[in-house]
Amino acid sequence: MREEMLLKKLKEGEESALEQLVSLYYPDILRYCIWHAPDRYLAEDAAQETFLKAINYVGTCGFSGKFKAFLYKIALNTCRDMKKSKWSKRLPLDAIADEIPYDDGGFKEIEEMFAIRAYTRGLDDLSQEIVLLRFRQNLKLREIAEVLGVPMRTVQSRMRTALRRIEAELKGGR
Amino acid sequence: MAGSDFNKKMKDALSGRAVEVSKARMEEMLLLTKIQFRKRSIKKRMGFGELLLFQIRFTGMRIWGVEIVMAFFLGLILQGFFMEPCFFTPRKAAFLLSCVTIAASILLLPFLYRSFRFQMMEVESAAYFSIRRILICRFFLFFGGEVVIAATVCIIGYMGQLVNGSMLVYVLIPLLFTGDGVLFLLKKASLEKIVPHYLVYAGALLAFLFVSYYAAPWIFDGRLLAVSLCAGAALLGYFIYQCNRLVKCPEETLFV
Repeated sequence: MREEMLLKKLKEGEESALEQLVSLYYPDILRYCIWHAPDRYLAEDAAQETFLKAINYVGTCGFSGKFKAFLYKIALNTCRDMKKSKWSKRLPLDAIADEIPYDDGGFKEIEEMFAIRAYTRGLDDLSQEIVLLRFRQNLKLREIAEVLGVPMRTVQSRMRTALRRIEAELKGGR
Repeated sequence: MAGSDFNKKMKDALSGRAVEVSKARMEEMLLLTKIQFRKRSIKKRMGFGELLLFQIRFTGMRIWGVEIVMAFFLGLILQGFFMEPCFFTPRKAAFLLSCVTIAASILLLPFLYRSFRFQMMEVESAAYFSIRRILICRFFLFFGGEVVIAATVCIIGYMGQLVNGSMLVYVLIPLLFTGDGVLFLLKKASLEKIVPHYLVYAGALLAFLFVSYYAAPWIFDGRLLAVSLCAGAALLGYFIYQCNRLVKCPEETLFV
């Protein structure tokens, strides 16, 4: 409801609605880009480019659907484009390490977290995105289906398969 | 591992720390988006004609290459058919021309689907048109290609002395049927379902042709020329009317 109201104001040309939309979604989009990018600065570049592209399209006659899913769609495409042209494919270890909260839990829990992240990165692109959007970005399955442009059943089955695989690998790794 | 426990582990592992955005960074972000928003508000819209020409380049040499190769091989195959004695009847040639025209229209479906799947957001943002309008634009380009294929087929048939003026109706009417059908679907149908809907439509047209050929083959002898010309005129009129609306109507009233 809030998103619809802000979009309506944005279409009417109110800049305050733009500020609120950006403040609402920027942290989430940045968090999403941090996963894909080699470092924080490049992630901020990607997040910035996502919003600049989204601004171009929002408010035009052809825009329909949820803005959140639309933003994630653009973020996904932006990260993919940047990966092809600018970013290195290998993620530096310290970038992963920055994200793990060392102050929570013991060594075993930390190790498990590293393992889960590594196994998630080992999934195919579609499954990885589904798992990411569900567990990292807290999107609903319907939203994930809209972002990725696949049927919801595909999202459900791919997620189930991916989680089974990660769980099996975790058990196998012990 | 219990399901909910494992889901919690996944969430904890993947979520990581909360993302902190500095005040300076947020202010910079807001400033940039405001500038972009203002620029967008005063940006001039691309016209439909300009968009159409842009699509020629945007479609890419790879797809144009595939189209040319397909048209070339189709021409070769048809040339072989027309040289066969069993096809040396005008009736069979007319039937074949009609079927080929409809089958050729199915070739554009993969390209429309690909365009839809990739969304073409940058093009949309430049043109201020919806994905539907851009798909229709692409359709016109490939429809032009189909007209070229149909013309090639007619020339080959003419060289084999099978096709004459009255046989053009067996190419034009299926061509207009397919063109009007695709236009109608692009305007009205859900974008995800355009491909299956059109396959059903084209399949029905082909089935009609086959049934007519075996049940009432005299249809392909050019006897219903007057009726065919009236039907052709109506289909052409609808096609021109849709083209006119596409060029002139604003986005808000076009796809209602």
